[in-house]
Amino acid sequence: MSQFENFFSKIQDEIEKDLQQKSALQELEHQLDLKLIPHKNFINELSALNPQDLITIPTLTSPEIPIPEILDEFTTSLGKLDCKAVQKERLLNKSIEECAVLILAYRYYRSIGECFNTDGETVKVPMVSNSHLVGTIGTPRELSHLLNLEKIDYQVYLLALLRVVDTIVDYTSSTVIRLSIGSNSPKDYTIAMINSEIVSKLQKGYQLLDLKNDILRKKYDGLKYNSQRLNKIVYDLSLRNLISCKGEVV
Amino acid sequence: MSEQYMQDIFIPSKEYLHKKQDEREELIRIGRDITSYSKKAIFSLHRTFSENNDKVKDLSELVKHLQLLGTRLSQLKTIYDCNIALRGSVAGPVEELIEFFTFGHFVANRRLLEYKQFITYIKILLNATTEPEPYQAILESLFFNIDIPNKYESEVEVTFIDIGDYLMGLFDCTGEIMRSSIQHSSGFTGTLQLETTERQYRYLQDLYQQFTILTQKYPGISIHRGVFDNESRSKGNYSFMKKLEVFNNSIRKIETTLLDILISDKETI
Repeated sequence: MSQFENFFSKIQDEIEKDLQQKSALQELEHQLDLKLIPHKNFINELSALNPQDLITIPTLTSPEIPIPEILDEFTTSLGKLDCKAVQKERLLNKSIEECAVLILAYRYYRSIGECFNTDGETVKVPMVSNSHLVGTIGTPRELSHLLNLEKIDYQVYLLALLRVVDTIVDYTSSTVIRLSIGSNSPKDYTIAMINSEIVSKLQKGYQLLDLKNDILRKKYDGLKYNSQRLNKIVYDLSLRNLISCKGEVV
Repeated sequence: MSEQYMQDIFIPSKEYLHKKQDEREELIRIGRDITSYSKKAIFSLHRTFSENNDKVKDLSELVKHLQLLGTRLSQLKTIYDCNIALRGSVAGPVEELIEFFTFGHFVANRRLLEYKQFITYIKILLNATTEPEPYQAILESLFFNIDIPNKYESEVEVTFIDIGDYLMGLFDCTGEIMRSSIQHSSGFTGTLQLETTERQYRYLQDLYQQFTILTQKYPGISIHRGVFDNESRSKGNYSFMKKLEVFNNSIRKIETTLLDILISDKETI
C-alpha cells in the first residue's frame, strides 16, 4: 500500500461526508422555506390592502407568534447536523434574514394601519417605537426580542431592512395605482409621502455606515434608486395637488 | 442630538460594522505574516537540507520562524473564533503553512506528513511561548521523527484548518519538491548522484496518480472554506484543476531535467 493511499482514502471519506451534509443542509433549508410560504403569502396579501384597511388584520394571523417557533425548530435541527461551523453559521444567518424580513414587513404594515386610523388632520407615523406607539421600523433590539434570539447580527438586520425597503416601495406603487382607480378617502395618497420620508430617513441612516465591498454595499447601492422612485411619485402627486392630507414621520 | 431611529439602529450598526471590519483587517494582516514567515521558513528548509549529508543541521533560524508563526497563529485563532465567516481569508495562509510542514517532512524523510501529526504541531504552536524548546521539539519531530515530550502537547482545538486545506497545501508543496529536485540535480553528473532526484520524481508521480484517481471519482471536486464539493465548472473546481495542471508541469520539469542530465552523461562516457 503506497504512503498516499491511506491519506486519500480519508480525503474520499471527507468528501462523501461533506456531500451528504450539503444535501442535509439543502433539505433543511427547503423545509424552512416551505414553512415560511404561508407567512410570505400573508405579507403579500397585506400589500393589497389600503393603508386604512390594514387595521383589519386579524392578530391571530400575525407571523410574530409562529416565526420564532419555526426558527427555533430550524436552529435545533441545524445544531444536530454534523457539518462544519462555517456552513452552519452561513445557513443560520440566511434563515434569520428570511424570518427578519417577514417580521419587519409585518411590523411596518401594522404600524401604518394603526397610524392611518387615528384622528387628526395629519397622519403621524413613528419611525421607531416610542412609549405610545409601535414604530414602522423594528429596531435590532426589538427584532432579536421578537425572534427570541439573544442578539441579532447587525449585518443580517441591515440586509433584512433593505429588503423591507423594497416591500415599502412596491407597496407605495401598488397602492397609488389601486387608489388612482377608485379613491374615496382624503388620506389616500398620503402613504406615498410617508413612505418616501421613511425611505429617505433610512437612506440617511445607511449613509452613516462605512460599508466595505460586500453584499450589504451592493444592496445599499439599490437604495438610492428606491428613494428616487418614491420622491418622483410624491413630486408628481404634489404637483397635481393630489396629497390632500399631510403625512409626517416622527 | 440625532434622531431616535439613528440612536436605535444606525449608530450601534456603525459601531458593530467598524469592529467587524477592524477584526477582518487584523486577521488579513496576521494571515499575511503567516504566509510571509512560512515562505521564509521554506527558503530556510531549502538551505538547511540542500546538502545530502549527515552533518548536524542548524535549526536556529527555523526555530525563530516557528516562534513567530506560533504567536501569529494564536492571534489568528482568537479573532477567527469570533468571526468564522472569515474562513475564506484564513485558507491562503493556512495552505502556505501546510506547504512548509509537508515540505519540511518530505526533505528530511521523503514521506508524506500525516495530517494528524500536522495538527499536533499546530496545537503546540497555538500554545505560543517565548521559550524555544517547544519549537525545537516540533522541528526534531518533523525532520528526525523524535517523539515530542508530553509536556508540550496541547488539547487546544484547531478550528480553522480542515483536511481539505491540507490537500490544497499539498499541491503547493509539490512545487517546492520540484524546485528542490532541480536545485539538487544541477551541479551533479552521473546516475548515482541523481538517485535523490529520481526518488523525488517517483514520489511526485505516485502523488499525482492519487490526485488523478480522486478527480476521476469526483470530476467537479473543489474546496471552499474547508468544505468539499463536487460541482463541475464551479470556480473552486477550476482552481483545483489549475493546481493539478501546475503539479503536472512540475513533474514534467523534473523529467526534462533528469533526461537532459542522464543523456548528456552517457555522451561523456
